[in-house]
Amino acid sequence: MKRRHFLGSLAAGLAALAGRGAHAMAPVPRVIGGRDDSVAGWLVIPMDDQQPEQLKAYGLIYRALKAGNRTEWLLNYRAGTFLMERDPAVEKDAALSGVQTEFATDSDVLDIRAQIASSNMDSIPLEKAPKIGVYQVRDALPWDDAVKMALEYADVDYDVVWDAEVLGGKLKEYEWLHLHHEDFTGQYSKFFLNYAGQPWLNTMIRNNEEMQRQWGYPSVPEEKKAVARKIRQYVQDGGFLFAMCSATETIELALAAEGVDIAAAYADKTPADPAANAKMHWDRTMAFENAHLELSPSIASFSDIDGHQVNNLPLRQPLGAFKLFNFSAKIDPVPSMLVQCHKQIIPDYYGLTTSFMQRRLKPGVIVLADEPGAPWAKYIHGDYGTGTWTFLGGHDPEDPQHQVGDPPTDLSLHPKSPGYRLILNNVLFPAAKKRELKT
Amino acid sequence: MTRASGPSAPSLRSGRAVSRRLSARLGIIVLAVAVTLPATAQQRQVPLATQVAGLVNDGLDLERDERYPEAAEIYRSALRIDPVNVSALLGLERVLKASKQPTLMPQLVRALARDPRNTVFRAMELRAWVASGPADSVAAAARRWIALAPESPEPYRGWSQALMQSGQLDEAQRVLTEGAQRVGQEQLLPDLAQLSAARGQWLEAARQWHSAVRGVDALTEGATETLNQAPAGQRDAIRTLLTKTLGDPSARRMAADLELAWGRPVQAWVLMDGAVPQDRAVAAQALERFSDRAAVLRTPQGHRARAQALDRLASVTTGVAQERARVDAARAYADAGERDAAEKMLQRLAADSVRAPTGAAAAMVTLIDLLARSGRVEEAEAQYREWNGRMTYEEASGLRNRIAWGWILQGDFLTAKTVIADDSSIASLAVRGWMALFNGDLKLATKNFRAAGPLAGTRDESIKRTEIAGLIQRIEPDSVPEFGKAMYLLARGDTAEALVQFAVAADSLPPRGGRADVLFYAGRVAKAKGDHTRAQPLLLGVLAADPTGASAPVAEFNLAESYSLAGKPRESIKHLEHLILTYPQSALVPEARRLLDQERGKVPRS
Repeated sequence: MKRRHFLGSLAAGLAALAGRGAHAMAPVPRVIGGRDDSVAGWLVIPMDDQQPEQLKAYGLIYRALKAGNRTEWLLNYRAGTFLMERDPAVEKDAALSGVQTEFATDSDVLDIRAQIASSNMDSIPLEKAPKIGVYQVRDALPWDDAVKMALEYADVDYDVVWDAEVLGGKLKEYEWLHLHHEDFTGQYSKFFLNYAGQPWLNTMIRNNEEMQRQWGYPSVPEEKKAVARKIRQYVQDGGFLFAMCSATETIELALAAEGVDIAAAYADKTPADPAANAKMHWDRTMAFENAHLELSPSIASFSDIDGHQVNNLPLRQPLGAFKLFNFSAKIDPVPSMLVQCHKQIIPDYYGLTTSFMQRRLKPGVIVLADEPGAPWAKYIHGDYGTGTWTFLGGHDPEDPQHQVGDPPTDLSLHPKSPGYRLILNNVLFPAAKKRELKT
Repeated sequence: MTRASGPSAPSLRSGRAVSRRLSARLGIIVLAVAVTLPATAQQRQVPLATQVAGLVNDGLDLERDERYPEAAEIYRSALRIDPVNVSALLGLERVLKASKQPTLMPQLVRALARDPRNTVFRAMELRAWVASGPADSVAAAARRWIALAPESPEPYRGWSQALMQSGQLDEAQRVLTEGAQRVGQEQLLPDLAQLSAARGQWLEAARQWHSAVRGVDALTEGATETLNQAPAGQRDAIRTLLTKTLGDPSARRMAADLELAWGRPVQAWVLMDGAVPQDRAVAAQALERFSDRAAVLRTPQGHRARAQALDRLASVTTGVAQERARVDAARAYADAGERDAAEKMLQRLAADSVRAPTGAAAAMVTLIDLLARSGRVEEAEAQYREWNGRMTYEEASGLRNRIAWGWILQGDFLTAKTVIADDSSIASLAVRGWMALFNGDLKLATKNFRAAGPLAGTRDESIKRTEIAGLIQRIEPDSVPEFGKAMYLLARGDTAEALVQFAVAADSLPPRGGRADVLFYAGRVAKAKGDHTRAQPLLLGVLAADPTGASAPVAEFNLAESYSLAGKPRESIKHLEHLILTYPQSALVPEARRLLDQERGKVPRS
């Protein structure tokens, strides 16, 4: 038995002997920060409000994993703190990134493990940096995708993949796939009529039409449906999918619309089938069911899955705040990992798809965050085949009213952004050692 | 929440002071009611009106402190005395809404009973029903108002605005359409335009605003405020509509206003220049509005557009207004960096000002200052001698120092001393300090800079003086002619030669007795000029001269910035990492990390 596992077991035993309940909350033991020229001991990367660079801390852990270090993710302990054996390279990396670290002795770690054993906390070993694919057209600027911005800021490696890679079967090379502001219904986010003639829209159309011709599909919507099916297959085969904004809603619509024309005439030369709603195959989707489509080509909304309807003015809902659920770390480690954050209440932010109406969720979908009293959820998760998917509504957690043409968000001004932390939880989640999950 | 503002709005006061005054005020009301019962109505009217005004002011104070329940009680007290007081009723509406309290109907019903045609009360009634009542109550209230004022657009306006504020855009459209049929579309065009904008129909909104503005030019401002919010993707279409499809002068003036709002002053002036109204009074109004809006931009192009508008304004006005326009145009040209145009404008003004000398002296101050700054010191001095009797002491002293500085830059220190010989102002002490510095006399320079203090000259001049005073304090010898020469060359704009002299001066100084500091100063100067080839060895020299000194981390940061600006990210990253790891306690570390992120492409460059 490895030393720290022995210490952990010992701590759990001691806690049990002391008669503490599983969810008892004792004061969190703290360790000493500052310089320590010795190299023995442990490195604690706190993730509570003491951490000035929370987003970069994820990058630090990712790079440490990539370099072969083993790390533990202490769920619910100081808002999801990380623990690892000391390593001068990691300490140098932390100093350069501004990530605060604390040094801990074996005795300190013993205290921490005792605390974890006796509270709603758990320690998850992280063993391998996942290989990340970000689905985006190759020459797109990074500033319009919150995940790319988070990965860039935290200095986490990723590859850009797009339709050619997906259709060509390359997804199996990746453990984690991210989708963002994509419209898998092939209608260019329904910006076609309102932004006609804009250079960025022309480029988007050209790229998509070239790809559709190259792969021999009759129209862009049909080609996008094929991409959606490949992504679903990736999840079914064990991949981790994380999607935000319109990608969440449209990939589901594209999956349900196999053989049904839901695209406006500007996208595929034929108007949408007026009876499309009745023909949707909701048994083929991962998260949603029984949604009603928005078939008007001039309204930049796809269906009634989205609760906020940002571009459908008569139905548009104001922004509130969403609350992360508190899961049992020992019983539900996966949802617990996904909601590790130093803030439980997070201000909401718009996207083409901002939220997910609860009545449209399939049975079995886990709601990770919702707006109390509102009929929608913000952050959801589920299994499909042997993989998992996680959907987070909205476009940019630090730009609540994000508009086309807005300047990029500078994450150095939001180093403790709770919304961006949720994104990065998803990046590290596939690094967790697989074990039997009770969820 | 909308808050009352304007000249009658009182200043913010502490909560305790407000509470004390409120208690006194409520006491006065009780006393006033008791004492004035037998008095005549006329005698009662004055103190009661004053008390109501005081109560309204107290209510506003409480609103500012976000003490809404107390503010509501004060407004209710005011309305008990004067049920039709519009300010109190509006205040009550605001605070009830802010504190999510129920209706203000009891007060509103009393007000309407006394003044049923009051448009403000009627609009409030609609808002109250929209916020809390069923739809048929809203419609019924609106119909009652329409019945009382069938020819007025106000009921339709109030009704549609209340519906728009609650997001009922289709219903608002129906109301405005009905109103347009009953009272004529012209009267409701601005409302239709706002509704179109709220629906995202920007081109329709622009068309409707244009029709409204053609009838009433003063609506241009409202049009700009609305259309300015159009998404970037819609702007080209709006431009084309206004300048090509519609294309008449009022449409072009609207487009000019929008271009200003969208930060394109050059295009704005081109449009405005070709669309100035024929009527001189209307033209003056339009040009004044344009120049005011251009001033907000605070960019050289914005200043230039403002100057051109004011220049044109001078041509359509006469007398004092014309003179004012020319002075302002000259200043705007000067702010835009167009000294020739500013000078021409001022010379024209000076020539005309024989007839109206009041503004001429102020204009000549600007002209003489321009002459001295542009090196025409003799001419400046001659003009100064002719005009100084008509200037204030501060203006004359300022010009003397400017002229002295002009002579210094021409190398004639003796004449400079003569010009300020009788001047005992702190600004002249600063000039004397610079002369001592240029002669290499650091002790005398320090003495004069200290005597001048921080208030002499502009803020920028003061900052520069303080920086140099700090630098020469760290130089051990009292006299360093090479350093003085370098500073003088720098003041004359000969940066390249100055940098050579700084290096010579640094060599003559002990490493920790000023060498590192002089090299750092020179390195920063070179960097600020974009001369990175010279900046980098100077800054590296700082690290070599005193690697543990106070200048080392800041020099290394500047070095990294210099490499960054020179397009050498690898060197920049190397020095930033060295800075962060070597000087972890330096206040520059967060800034260094930010630059490191930018160099690595992790965050956008600001």
